[in-house]
Amino acid sequence: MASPSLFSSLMKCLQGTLFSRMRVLNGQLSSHLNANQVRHGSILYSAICVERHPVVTSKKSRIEENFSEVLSKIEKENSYLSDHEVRRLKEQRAAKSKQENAEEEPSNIDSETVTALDLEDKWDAEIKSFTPASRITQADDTGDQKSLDRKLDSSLYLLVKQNVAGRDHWVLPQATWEDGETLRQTAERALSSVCGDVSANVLGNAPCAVAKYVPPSEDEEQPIKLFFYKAWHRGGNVNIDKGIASDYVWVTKEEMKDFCHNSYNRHLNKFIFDI
Amino acid sequence: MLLCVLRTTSSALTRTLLVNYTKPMILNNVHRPVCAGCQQQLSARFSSNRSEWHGLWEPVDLKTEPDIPEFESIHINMKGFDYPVLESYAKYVHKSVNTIFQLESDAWPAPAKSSQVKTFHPNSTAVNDKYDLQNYERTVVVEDVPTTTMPILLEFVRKNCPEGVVVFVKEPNPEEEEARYVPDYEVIELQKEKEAIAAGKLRKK
Repeated sequence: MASPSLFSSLMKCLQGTLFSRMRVLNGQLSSHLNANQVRHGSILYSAICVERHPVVTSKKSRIEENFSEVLSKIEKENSYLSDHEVRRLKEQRAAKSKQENAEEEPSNIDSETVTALDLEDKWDAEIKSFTPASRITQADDTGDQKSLDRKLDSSLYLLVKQNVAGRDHWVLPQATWEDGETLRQTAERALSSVCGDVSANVLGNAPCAVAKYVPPSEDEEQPIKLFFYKAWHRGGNVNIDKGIASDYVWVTKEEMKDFCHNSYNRHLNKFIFDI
Repeated sequence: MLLCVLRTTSSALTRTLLVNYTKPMILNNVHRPVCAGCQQQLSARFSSNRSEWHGLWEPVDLKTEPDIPEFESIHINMKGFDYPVLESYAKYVHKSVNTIFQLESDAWPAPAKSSQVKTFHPNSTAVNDKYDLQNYERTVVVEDVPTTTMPILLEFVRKNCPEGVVVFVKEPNPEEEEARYVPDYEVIELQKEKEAIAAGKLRKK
């Protein structure tokens, strides 16, 4: 009953990848791949991986925190005194000597000059009055996977539930290659047709990964080649076109496992890194 | 009367010519005086000869362009107000480009742009705080980047960028390069004088 998974795990595609990369680079894509399609009869797809990069830096792990503390202590011990610290020390010594010689000299009231300690108090008050924005947003609390505000310290990737070969799968937005366009144009078309308002910059004219599916018997199904492109999200959220895709999510790399097939995930692991 | 020193060994043309004028011929950086007739023969013989000792060897399989097209140079421009953070990031990028990506690179700083920020007490012009800020700038130039390596380099630069640093990755712009040079005021003045003289406005005293 289970239909064969779209992408087999056997990869002997290095030559195939290089061949198609060369063609894409030389811009002879349309004519040559059309000939190939006719000869081999494989369907070409282009998928686009839109990545929203982290907005805030990630928190340090315990080891990293301890180590950075030690390093800053060492740096402080080895450093020279700044102007402010020199001034503070000088005033401390003056105050001490004034205390000891309090009965000998009449104290001058220096109410107009601002001492270093006064400045420090002023700065402390300023820091206390400042509240930085929260790292955990409302979307994090509700767990809204459609929102772009979630998980600000990690990358989010766009997944859509698309109808591929008769069944709905959670995949990166993809489209079939048509005659006369480059694979990159197919990827951009996939994004605009499936997602609408999302604007993204595609990295490079060559795909970053490829997945091949060769069916067991040549007659029943056509072999499939799926080329992946990476893109950086620039703005806009998904305005889904119900005809092509039914749902979308923005997920981190770990959460992707809950949505995609295992075999598809294996291909994604080739170019999506959780760094 | 001078004798031609070099003799050709080909059978048909073994003869010594006595001429007044000999023109030195340079073979493998050695100057040998040779007469005109022999010289023609020799150059004809040696230019087509691929041997290392008797002529210029030209390799057959020269490629004028690399297989994967390359960007001639890419400027990674980093700006930030926090000096130690910016400096360590620039150093990291420069080192990585040399060691991880194995590309030729060069790096230089640009003069910092200082600015002053004043905060005022509410509803008055009395200065509350005064901050002197400096926007530091570093540029790392990467040369001969293959187009397939470019996306990886971009990802690397972006993922490792610390907070407070703004990065621009772009191709070189000749207008911006002018800002690196200190103008030579003497030269500029002299050029202006020259133009004025040419226009006839300045009369020589």
